[in-house]
Amino acid sequence: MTVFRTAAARFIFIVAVVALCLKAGGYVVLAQDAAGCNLNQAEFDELASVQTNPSLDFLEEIRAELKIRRGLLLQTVLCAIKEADELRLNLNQAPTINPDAKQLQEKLGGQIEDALNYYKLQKSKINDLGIQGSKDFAKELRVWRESNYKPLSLRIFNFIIWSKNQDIIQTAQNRINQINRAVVFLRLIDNEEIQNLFKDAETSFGEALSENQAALNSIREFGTPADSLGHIKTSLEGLALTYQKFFELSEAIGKLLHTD
Amino acid sequence: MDLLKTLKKLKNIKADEGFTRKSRDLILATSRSAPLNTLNIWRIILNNFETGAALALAGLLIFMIMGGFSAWKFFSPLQISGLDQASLRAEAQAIDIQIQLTDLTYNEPLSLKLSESTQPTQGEIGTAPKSNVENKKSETGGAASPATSTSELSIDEALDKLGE
Repeated sequence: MTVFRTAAARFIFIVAVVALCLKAGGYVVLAQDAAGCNLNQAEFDELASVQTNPSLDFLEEIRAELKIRRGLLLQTVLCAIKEADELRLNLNQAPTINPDAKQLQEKLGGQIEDALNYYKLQKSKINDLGIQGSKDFAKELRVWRESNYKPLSLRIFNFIIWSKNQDIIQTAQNRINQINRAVVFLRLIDNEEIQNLFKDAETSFGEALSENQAALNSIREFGTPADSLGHIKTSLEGLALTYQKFFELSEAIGKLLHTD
Repeated sequence: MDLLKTLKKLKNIKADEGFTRKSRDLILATSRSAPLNTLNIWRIILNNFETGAALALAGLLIFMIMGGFSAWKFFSPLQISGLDQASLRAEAQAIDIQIQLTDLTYNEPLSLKLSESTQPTQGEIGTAPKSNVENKKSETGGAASPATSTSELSIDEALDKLGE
């Protein structure tokens, strides 16, 4: 019996580990990717230590500082390339059935491709930079990221979220249709409580749908990322409310069926 | 000589007509039973098949019972009407996850803050989004938030340091 217990425990343990591995697979890959891009504070501290090292003469100090700066810049740009590449991958994997959304996905894909090309071009310039040039380079890249890359990445983020919502919306639509048929079939259409709950569910779902469309329009027409995200959130809240009504309907119908 | 006579007499002996008919019928009946044997083989196969099917069905029934299948639940009006609470809960949970995702905002996908993030939903889109409060800071042009780790920097933080 003890042996059986041990074997069973081992089996359960193995199954659990395999399941966890499968479930966490994607995240593990991402964590590894992130780990592949390390911008260590210690390396930046090294830059400061070279600048204040009394044992180095002027030329040695310049050479050492330049070497460290170029290395750090290269590392940073490589991280930025990896970041953009991963975003492009996520964008391409976003499920899209709607032709408008597909078109937008391709457009955003082109824009992230442009961003990647920009980074690659900047990378090729690093070896020719002097100390002041490398400082200017970093500042310009920072400004470019803030004004170009960040808005684009937020748009793409919103698009990915939006496209993932479409499945949920379709499922809710199917539920509404199913419930509508059932209410008629079970002859509950004349029950006021059921009728009101179903109407409320339909209203919330209608709002969710219109906000969902507004979100797509906002992403497509270069609305602010906050505005697009606001529409997405409102749409999801509408869906949540719809499901709240479904639960209430379920309880109400359950009570009616049990009393009949 | 008497023996020879007797043998000659025996030549003329004929079977009784009734006995002949009876024997013929018996032989004909035996010849008809030959195809019946083939039928018996099929019957045996059929019997085996029936037994096998019965065993399989019994096994299926036991499997369904052990597996927690409930005909009452399966055919309940709520299940049919799509108002089964378990399914609804699962779908509502998917909405909750999406709402949580919208509360996170994309900022530094490969910043080293990712390694500190604990929510799996963040990993789903390959980003390390910040909370709304942090996002508002960056939207209003505020400086990048300080590194939460003493050993790792985000891309923007690294560029800020390299620009100094």
